[in-house]
Amino acid sequence: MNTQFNKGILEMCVLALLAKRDCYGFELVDTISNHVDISEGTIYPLLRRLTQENYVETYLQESPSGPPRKYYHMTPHGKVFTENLIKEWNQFHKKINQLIKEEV
Amino acid sequence: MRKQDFLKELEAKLNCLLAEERKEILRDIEEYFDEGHRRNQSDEEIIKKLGSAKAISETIIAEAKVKRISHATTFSQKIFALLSAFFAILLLTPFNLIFVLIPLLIITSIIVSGWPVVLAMIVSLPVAVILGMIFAINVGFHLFTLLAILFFVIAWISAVITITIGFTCLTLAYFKGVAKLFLWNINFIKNRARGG
Repeated sequence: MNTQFNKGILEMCVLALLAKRDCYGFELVDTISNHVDISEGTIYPLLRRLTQENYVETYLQESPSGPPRKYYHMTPHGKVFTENLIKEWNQFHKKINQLIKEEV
Repeated sequence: MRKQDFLKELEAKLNCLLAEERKEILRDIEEYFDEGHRRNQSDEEIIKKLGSAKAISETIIAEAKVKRISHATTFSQKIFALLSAFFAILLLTPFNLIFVLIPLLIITSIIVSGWPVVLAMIVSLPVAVILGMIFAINVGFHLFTLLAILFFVIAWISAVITITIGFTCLTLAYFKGVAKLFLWNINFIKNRARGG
C-alpha cells in the first residue's frame, strides 16, 4: 500500500491508543501489529516525533521483571489534536464510502 | 544477526545525530528486545519484526533533517537543509531509489551531454550549406551532383530540426517531471514540519 497513506494511518492508530491509556513501546507496537501489517521499527521514529511535537510525553516505570519501561502519556495538547484527527478521519471515511456506493 | 549486532549497526548508521539523541533511540530499541525476550522471542524473530536497521535510521535521519529546516536562520542554510532533507526523503524508500533516482540520473546525464551535440549540429547547418556550395563549384554544375548535394543539405537540415524538437520536448518533460518530484517531496517535508 501507499507508504504516505500508511504513515498517516499509523500515526492516528498510535494517537488513538494513547488517548485511551498510557502504553510502553512494545505494547503499542504489539497492539497495532495485531490489526495492521507494519514494519515495527518504524513506530519508534514516529513516537520520537510525537514526543518532540509535544503530543505525548514519556516517563520511566519499573516493571515486575527486567529493566524499567518507557511509558508514553498523551498531553492535553495531544488529546485535542487526536480528537480533531479522528473527526477528520470519520468525515473522510464517510465521504469515501458515499462515493463508493454512488459509483455502483 | 544478534541483538548486539543490530544495535551496533543502528548506532553506526545514526552517527550524524547528537550523541544524546542516538543513545535515547538505542535505549528504546533495546527495551523492545528485552520485552521480546520476556515473551520468549528470539533475537532473530524480533529483528525480523523490527525491519532493517537501515530503514529505521533513514526514517529518523530524514525526520531530523526536516526539523533542521525550521531551525536554519540564513537563506543559504535553509536551502542547504531543504536539499539535504529532500535527498534523505528520496532515499527513504527503495522505490524512490530504483524507480526515481536512477532514471533521474540517467536522463539528467543524457540531457546534459546531449545539448552540446544538438547545438553543434545547429551550428553545423550553415557549414553544411557552404560545404555543399564549395563542392558544387569544384565539381561543376552537373544536374545530378547538384541534386545530390541539395538532397544532402535538405536531409541534414531536417535531421537537425527533428533532433532539436525531440530534445526540446524531452527537456521540457524532464523539467516538468523534476518539478513534480520536487513538489511531492516538498509537500511531504511541509506536512512533517507542520507537525502532522
